[in-house]
Amino acid sequence: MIFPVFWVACLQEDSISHHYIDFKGVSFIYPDNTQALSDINLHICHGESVGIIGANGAGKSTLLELITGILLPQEGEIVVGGIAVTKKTLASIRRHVGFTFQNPDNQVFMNTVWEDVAFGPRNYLLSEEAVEKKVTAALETMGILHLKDRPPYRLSGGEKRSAAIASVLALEPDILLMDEPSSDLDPRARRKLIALINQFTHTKLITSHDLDLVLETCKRVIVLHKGTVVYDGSPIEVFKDEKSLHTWGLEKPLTMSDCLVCDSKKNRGQ
Amino acid sequence: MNSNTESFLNLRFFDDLSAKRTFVHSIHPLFSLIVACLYLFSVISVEKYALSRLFPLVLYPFIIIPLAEIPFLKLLKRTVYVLPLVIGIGIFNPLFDNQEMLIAQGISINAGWISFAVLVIKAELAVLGALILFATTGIVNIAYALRLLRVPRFFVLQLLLTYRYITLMNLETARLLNAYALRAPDQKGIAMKAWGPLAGQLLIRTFDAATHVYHAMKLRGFDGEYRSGRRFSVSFKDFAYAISWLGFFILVYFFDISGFLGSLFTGG
Repeated sequence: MIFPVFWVACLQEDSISHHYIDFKGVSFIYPDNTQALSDINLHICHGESVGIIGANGAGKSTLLELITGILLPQEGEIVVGGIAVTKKTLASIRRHVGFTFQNPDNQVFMNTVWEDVAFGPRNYLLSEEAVEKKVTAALETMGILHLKDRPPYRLSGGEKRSAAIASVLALEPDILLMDEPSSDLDPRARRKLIALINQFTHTKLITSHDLDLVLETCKRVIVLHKGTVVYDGSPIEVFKDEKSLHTWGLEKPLTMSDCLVCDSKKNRGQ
Repeated sequence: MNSNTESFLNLRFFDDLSAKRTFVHSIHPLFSLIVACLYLFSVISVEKYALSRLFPLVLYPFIIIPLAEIPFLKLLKRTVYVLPLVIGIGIFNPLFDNQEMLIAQGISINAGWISFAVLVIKAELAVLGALILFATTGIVNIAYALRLLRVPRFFVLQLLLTYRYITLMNLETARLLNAYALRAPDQKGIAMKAWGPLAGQLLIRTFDAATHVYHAMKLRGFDGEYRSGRRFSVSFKDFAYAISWLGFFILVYFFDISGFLGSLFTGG
């Protein structure tokens, strides 16, 4: 069974908050004519935690890059906090949106981890004292304060990922966009990340193949398949539907799968 | 660590060195930049047969390198990359410029060889001077100094992004060469038929990586100005540093110190 796309009812705070995201008939085609997204209509409310899942090439990263204005749609409109994403509005939108890239190498480019995390706050002309506080807090949150003087290119993949997330946290964004945040992380760092995402009370969109992370952090899931939204709703409901998951190139989260060790069955007959 | 990855890490050599905290590193970037430019001017302005005029200019790297705790041999190694170019330009001097020149009592030499030696030493010293600036001031602070000199932001940005681009290109080159070497274990070097695809891949991948880094910078509020967070204030030591070197370069420019010292010792 394919779930119909439906709108999730927004909270009342939406009317007084600016941290919502609207996609109105958005389509995006890459220069090589690959249709990445087709007629996307979404409304993400203030404070919502939304997981965006889908097989490789489904359009997840493109969707996030459209919100930040890295890409601009050929059709439709994206509105962030009441402001349409256009070339002219990018600076004001980006002031409120934090984005962690899929590849942390793209995000950590300064000479030391400290310099990298401080890069954003310094660009917003904060005093050095304020920069120091924010950077220390962000590094402590990610548990990598001890790496502050290390050059990013000498870090492991997971450490780089943590530094990349810290660099975004230091900006204290109102909307957090994370592209595959748990890839490269060891189990403990991943657990910390999940706790961190759950602490973040503002709007957040997370794309991931780590469906267990999505299950633990998101109250709403959007499934993309070949550039279109094929499901928008509760995570539990969609993760129970193995047939649809199979159709979309996905599998159940491990926590909802049958146990290979004790042979216990979960969600039989769903 | 394999040689490809090692060569990439070597590129960060200057970033690492510029993070040191020595007396030379503490000089205001504007003054470091001015002194380096004056040094380059002094080296370049030496006439083509004035070999002895170059010798006093060796003092600048010989004083700065230990003061800034720069590994001399490692730095010198990086200057030799320009040698093929310089030798290519100057190698015909001995052939075409074959007048005899007296260099000491009773000893004369082909003038072409002298001009060739002057060209090579000038190139080495000029590159060394520029590398010392990178190693002691760092690219971000050089950009800051250029902005203080009212160099348009666009040009400074080009410099900074080119520097980052070279870093990324080296990283991509190391990855491509590693991937190639792992699948061609018995091959020495790269087969000629793979040169084209490798070069194309390198260009596309580096461009992609550079674009991503640029986006990551823009997303974090980058507006074309690098802010290092270091507060530089001009102090007496900056003036003293710049004026001392300026005085020395003027002395070298107007007086033949080597000749003078030589005549002192030989009584000529």
